This record gives sequence, C-alpha cells and structure tokens, in this order.
Amino acid sequence: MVIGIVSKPGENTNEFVIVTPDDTEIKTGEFVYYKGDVEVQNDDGSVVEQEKKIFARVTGREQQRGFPDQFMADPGVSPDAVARKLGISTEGVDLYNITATVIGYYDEKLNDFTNPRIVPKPGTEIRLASDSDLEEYLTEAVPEEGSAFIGDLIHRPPEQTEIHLPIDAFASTHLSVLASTGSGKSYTASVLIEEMMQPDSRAAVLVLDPHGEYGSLKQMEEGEKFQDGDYAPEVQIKRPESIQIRISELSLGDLFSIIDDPSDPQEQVLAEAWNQLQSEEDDYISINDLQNKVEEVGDEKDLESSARALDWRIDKALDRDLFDHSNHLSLSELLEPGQCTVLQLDTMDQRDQQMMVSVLFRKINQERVAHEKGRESELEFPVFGLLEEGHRFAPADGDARSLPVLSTILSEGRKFGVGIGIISQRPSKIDDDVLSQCKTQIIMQIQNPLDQDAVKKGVEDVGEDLLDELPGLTPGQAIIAGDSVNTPFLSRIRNRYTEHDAESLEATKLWQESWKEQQREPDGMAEPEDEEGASNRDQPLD
Amino acid sequence: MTLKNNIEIGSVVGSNSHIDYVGEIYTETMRENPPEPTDFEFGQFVYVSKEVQGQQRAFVGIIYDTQLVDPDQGRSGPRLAQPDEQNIFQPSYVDEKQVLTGIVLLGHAKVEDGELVDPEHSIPRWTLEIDDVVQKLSDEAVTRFHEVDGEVRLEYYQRIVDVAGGFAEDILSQVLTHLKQEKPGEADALDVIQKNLEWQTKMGGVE
Repeated sequence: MVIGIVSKPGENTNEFVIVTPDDTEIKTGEFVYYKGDVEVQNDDGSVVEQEKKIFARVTGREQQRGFPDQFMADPGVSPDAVARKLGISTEGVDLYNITATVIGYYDEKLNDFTNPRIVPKPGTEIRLASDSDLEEYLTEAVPEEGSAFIGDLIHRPPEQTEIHLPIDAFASTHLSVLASTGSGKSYTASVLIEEMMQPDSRAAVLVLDPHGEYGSLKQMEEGEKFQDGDYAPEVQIKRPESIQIRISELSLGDLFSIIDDPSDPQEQVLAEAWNQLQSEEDDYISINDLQNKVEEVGDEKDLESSARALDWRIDKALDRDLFDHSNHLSLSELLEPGQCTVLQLDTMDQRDQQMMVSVLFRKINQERVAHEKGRESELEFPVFGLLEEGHRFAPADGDARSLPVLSTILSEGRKFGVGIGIISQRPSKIDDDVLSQCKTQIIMQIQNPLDQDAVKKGVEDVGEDLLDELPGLTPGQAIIAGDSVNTPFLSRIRNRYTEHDAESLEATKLWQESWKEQQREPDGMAEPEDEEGASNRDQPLD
Repeated sequence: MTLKNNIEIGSVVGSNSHIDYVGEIYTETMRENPPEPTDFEFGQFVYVSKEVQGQQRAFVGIIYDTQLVDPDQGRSGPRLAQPDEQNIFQPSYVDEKQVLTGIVLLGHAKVEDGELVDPEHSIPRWTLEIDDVVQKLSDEAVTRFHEVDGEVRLEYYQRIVDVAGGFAEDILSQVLTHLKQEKPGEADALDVIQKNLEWQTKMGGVE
C-alpha cells in the first residue's frame, strides 16, 4: 500500500520528507520502505544493480495543512461544521509532512542493513513495511532456536508481529534494562529469563534480586511452555539467611573495604597476615585464624599495637552471619544449565550485597577464565547474571566493592562467556563504562532528565527521535537497541507466562483492613452499660 | 410563495465579470412605482429569474456596492432653461441620472411553484443578460437560499470577499446576523465564522 510520496530531502543526511494525506497509519518509529536500485556484489564477485526494498524509519510528523485555529474558536463547534458552512470539503483536508531516516536495504550476506547513502528522489512512492519483513530483518533471531520472544512492535496492532531477540547476542555482549520505577523493568527482565529457560536455550542464569521480585519465576518449573521431554527448568530461590560468603574467598581489597577505617600500619599488618594465610592454600579461614595470624605478624614486625587495634576491627567486620569459615555459595550449586537461581537479598545491607556480588562474580569470572584457558574449572558453560538495581553494584561514584569486578567482566566477559544484565531505574547513577559496555539496551519510560541524558550518552546507536519518545512510553513499551538488533525499534513487551510479583501495594485497601482490624482488637473492653452493676450504680450509697 | 409579488428594483446593464454584474435601479421615469431606497440597500439579496433549459431558475446575488451617476456633474456652462423647466426641454438629461448597483452572483436555485428549490452556492454556468430584471429577494427566501443539504451554509463566502473587498465584512456580517436569528440551532457555528471575519478584517487594518 502506498502511504505517501517523497517530496524533498530532509535537513540531515539520510533524511527525507514524505507527504501523506492521512496520518492514521504512520506513527513515529514506524518502518516504511521504497524500492530502489542498489549495487550489490554477486557470489562471483561481479557487481550488479538490483532492485531492493530500502527501509526507513519515521522520525517525525508535522501537519502541513489543516483547518485554521480560528475554526476552533468555540469548543462546542467542530471545525468540520464551520468548514462545511463555508463550502470547504471536510475530507482529505489534513496533509502531513513525515520525516523519515533511511536505514538501508537488507543485505543477506551481512545479515544487516546497508545504507545506500542516497535519499529517494522526490516523487518516489513510499510503502508501509510488511510485518513479515520486519520480523525477519529487525533482528537475526530464528524463532525456537535460541531466541527470546520479547513481544511485538508498538506501532502495529497487538500480537500482529512477533519480535525475537537472539539470546546468544545479548547473553555474551551484555544487556541493560533501563526504566523508571513502575514501567516494567523487572517484568521485562522476567520475560527474558523465561525465554532463556525455555527448552531451546536452557541457560545458566543467576539473578541478584534486592527486592524479592523474582520469586514467582518458580512457576516455570511447572509451566507447560518450559517442558520438553526430560527437560524442565530448575528454579532455586535463595533467601538471605542461606547466603554466606566464605572468608577465604574474600580478596584483600574486600577485606580492606569492610575493616573499619584502618591506619597504614594496620593495613600493612593485615595485608601481610592475609597473604600468608592465602599462601597456605587453606580453603577454610576462620576469624580466629585471621586474628592469630595478625597477632603473629604484629609481633614479627614490631607492630603489636596495630595488631591489637585490628583485633576488634576484624571481629566487627567478619563476626556476622554473612561470613563463615566454611559455608559458601558453591558455584556448582548456583549455576547449572537449565537452572535459574534467584538470590533474594531484600533484608541484606547494601554493603553486604555489594560484597556478595564482588565475591561471587570474581569467582565466576575466575572459573570461566580458567575454563577458557584450558585449566580445571567449576564452570564449563557460559553463565548469565542479572543484576536488579544495577546502580547499587556499579555506581557512578565508584563507591562499591562490586564495581571493579563488574567492570572487568563487562569489558572482557564476552571472551570468557560471562554475560551481565544490568537493570536500573537510575541510569545516571550507573558507572559510564559499565553502561556503555552493555551492548543490548532495552529502554523503557524514563522521565528524569538526568537519567535521560545518561541514556543518551551511554547508548550509542539510538537516534534522538527514539530517545525523545522516552518520557511518553507507557509501562510495557520499550525501545530495543544495540548489538542484538539490526536497527533500534519500539516494542511492546509480551505478557509473562509466570505471574508478576512486583505489583505495588494497594495502600488504601491495606489501610482499611488494618483499621478494621484495630477496631476489633479491644475485646476486653465493654460498653459502660454492660458493666457489672451498671443498672444500680446511680443509686445512692447506703 | 416567496418569489411572487417581489419588487422589481432594476435591470442588468453590464458586468465586470461572470459573477459581478451592474444593475440600474428603476427611477420614476421608468416605472410607475419605482423602488424605495430600502429596496436596494447595501447588502440586499436580489435575484434574476430566468428560464434555462426549460427549467425556471433564480440567480441569486447581493448588492455589494452602489454608484450614483450624474452626467451634469462638473458641467458648468449656462443653461437655456430654468431648472424647473429642464424636465420639459431636456428629458434625456434627467434620464441619465442613474443609481447603479454592483451585484455579486452567489448562486442559483430551481424555482418550483414560486419557491427556491435545491439552492446551490456555486458559480452558475449561465450568464445573465442585459435588461434582465433584478428583483428583491424576500427574507424568507434568503433563509431558504442558505439551506443546503439540510444545514445553513455560506459556500459563496470567499467569492464575496474577493469581489466586494473592503465591503465584504459588513455584508457578510449582516447575512450572518440574519441567519443566526433565523436558525438559532446553528448560531454557534455561524458565530465562529462571524467573529473570525471581524477579527481578520479589523485586525488586518491594525496590523
């Protein structure tokens, strides 16, 4: 269907203007195409001209012709009625100028769009891209073959299109889900996990869940969609009580970060003591072991007072449930293909959460590096870690134990098969490098201007036109961009197969219930009339 | 019977274009009962009744301008006769004093049983002719002329603006006020047009 005619080139390179009489079909972000001859190389190396569909994305729309404002002077009178009285036709009045940016033609050899670097001539007919073309060309995913069915295209009728993301791409080059509270980030992340746990992927996924929102993923174990022969995903929910860090797995840096304000000599003693303990290759270091070693080193180095001062600091830092000399989160227990482990950290202190992430991901990274280098390793398969509240673990101000290890994984992880998904409602509070290393972005409604700026800086290939949509997106609508897609697009996230846990509390309902509860409570009290002897209490005392 | 017994106010004597005609108002030398000044006032709807292709049609127009013509103006030479006797000695001279009216053609309608039927506000394909009699259109017929497809319309609006120029606002304003009174149900929409007209004309002069 021809929906408009090219009228002129636009202001920017790759931009052109279409005139269309009707705007109902054409929304910002919509895909259109025209046919043009492009030079392509044949298999034998010869260059031939071939007619291709050249795709473009609609970036703006403005009215060129319509009823004047004066026709709208009376809210009770429609401009159509005024126009009719003056003998002006009321049909086909509105004329729109639509701006579109050339994406290019789909090159089967490159599996990507190639820009012909020329805008269409005035008079060229513009057609709406078909659903099937978009499904095929927007991403490289093949349904049912390691792909994530994420939802449909926002500007097409619901469920008319099916958009799949290649799991391999975002699981290796990292992912970010950025959105303000209530716009569906954890919903979207759950959809991705659901897809990764399906029989065609069977991923090893670890979810860091500071709010306890991912518990309902347990339903995947029973869900029909997730079963295939012997396979059914395993979902482990770990509560904070069962999460412990083995002291010997801490790094010296970790230790410094939890010891209360150590002086230089204290650091020296601690470092020496820790190195000695590590060199003993003892997997089980207790608080006592460390304190004894510190005392020993203090004696050796003539720093007894520093050693004494460290004694209580070590106690204060490590004598907590989080740390244990032998218990720990074993990687083989946490990570298995076809298993999704949710670490619910909701009652854990933020510093402890960061410590946990630091220890855990350092270990994951070490094991994966060991495996790739051909050494013995606990992790012989790639893993994907999803961090809810990502700004806590990789903050822009750098004040988190977990930042260095996350930076390392994000910059090198793709080589070693460690994928990270960062979820956050405060992109401006995430470390710039971390954000820019997440090569697939799912961006949902963001209203805070600082966060919008952070997204603009951190996300490279999303055009201004799409980013302008950010404040206007409604929950469940997202811009998907980055390495997993051939060109950014607007998508509606599909419904979850499992239930969603993170709904806001119904405050008024809870208040009402609580109030009624309180009214019922004073059971022991009685109305004055019901009291014993009430009937004759006004009688004079004899 | 809106088109019966209407006063004949004059005849067509020329035109400036297909829709812009000049009419000469009858004087007492031409008609026994010449029209009163109120019959050919500024903004008066008029019509010319003609038979076209076997069908009686009324060509409806409006008086948008008036010009007085006096050939004696500026002639300062002596006269042979006293002014009172001029009528006897120079009858043609008296005849030459004319009231000419500009009439812009707004549309046309069929005439059936003395009523306007199926009014159209488009430019008629047929022209008026010299000596066609111009008649005053009754208020009732004016309202009828504006009822197109079941609602009040002024599809000729822009044509009046083009032909009458600076006088258009007054004429249209009169028409709109009349129609607002006659058709209170459509007064709101007519009001939007009227206010817009006033604003454009008056602000156009200020800006």
